[in-house]
Amino acid sequence: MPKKPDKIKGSKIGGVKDVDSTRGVEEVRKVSEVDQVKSSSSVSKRKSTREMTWEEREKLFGLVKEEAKKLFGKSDIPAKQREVIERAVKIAIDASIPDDNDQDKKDKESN
Amino acid sequence: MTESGTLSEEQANELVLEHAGWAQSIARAVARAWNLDWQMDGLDGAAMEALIFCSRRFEPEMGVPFRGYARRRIHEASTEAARQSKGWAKSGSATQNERLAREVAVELFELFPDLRSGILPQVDEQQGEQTLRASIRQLLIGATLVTTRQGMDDASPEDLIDLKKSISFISTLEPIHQIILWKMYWESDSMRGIASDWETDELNVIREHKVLLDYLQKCFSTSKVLAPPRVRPGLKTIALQIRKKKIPGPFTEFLKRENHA
Repeated sequence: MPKKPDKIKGSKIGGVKDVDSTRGVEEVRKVSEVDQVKSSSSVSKRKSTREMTWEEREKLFGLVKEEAKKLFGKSDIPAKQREVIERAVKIAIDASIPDDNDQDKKDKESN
Repeated sequence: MTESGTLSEEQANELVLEHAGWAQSIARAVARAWNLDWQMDGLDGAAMEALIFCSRRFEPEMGVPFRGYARRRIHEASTEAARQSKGWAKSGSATQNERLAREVAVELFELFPDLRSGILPQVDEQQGEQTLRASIRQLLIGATLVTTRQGMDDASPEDLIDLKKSISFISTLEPIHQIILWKMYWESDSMRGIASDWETDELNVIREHKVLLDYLQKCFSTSKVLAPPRVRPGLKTIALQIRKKKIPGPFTEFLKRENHA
């Protein structure tokens, strides 16, 4: 004869305790309000954050000259203003490139 | 290491010794570009002070390399020392154009702060040399706007007509776009400052600025007014608020005033 299952011992199950009153439920939003998944082309490509180097300094100056010529070739910007613009960009680039005489680099090389 | 995460004095001093030559090379670059003497004009001292300042505040736990953390500050200190130097004040021998170019270059560092770290303005779409060219075009347009503002003060009547033409390109832009350019180039406000006023992410302003420079570059190179760019999604809400309040574009207003004068 099959054995009867043991009775569950222990305290009785209590009644349902106080439940917090239901608070406001957010309205269901239309699907159109949710942003659509965008195509991968709309995501910015990885950008390069490479530092300018001493070796490419002269090349950069050359590019400034070429691009200024292209940009202002047909424009009405006065010649004096063009000269200032080109020179200012060259100064800014030059001041951003530490020279090649970095002393600690030399120290490391000699050790 | 201290409790606050900064280095002990001994460690910080070691950092200073290790990077002194590098800090000096930044000061020399600034002096070279502005035709100053890096020692006589006090750029060496300014760079060292900035290096010591950074060594005391550097927190290795933040995961940023020391040079990445300190370079911009050392460059800023060197530039400031250059502007206050006797060599700068004595630039009487330099031509007027050279003096103007020096001032414009200083403003370019405020407009394109990554330059202080040796990084050209970033562009999205190209690779290789095309990237360099596109970055340089951004700098050239930035400098064009600065010189246009400078030129409005003391231009001859002939030059004034040409300068007004440059401004007419900008006056066709959406008011929000005009406001960005006005605040940056006419009021020397930073992109961070503009973003903070509009309670938006700085990146939204940075991206919009890039689009505007691209547009102006096309206008300047063709000498034609082209269809203005649309406002990008990140700033659309603010653009709508500006339109609702009927805030006019500052360049449109500026041109109106100039034409009535």
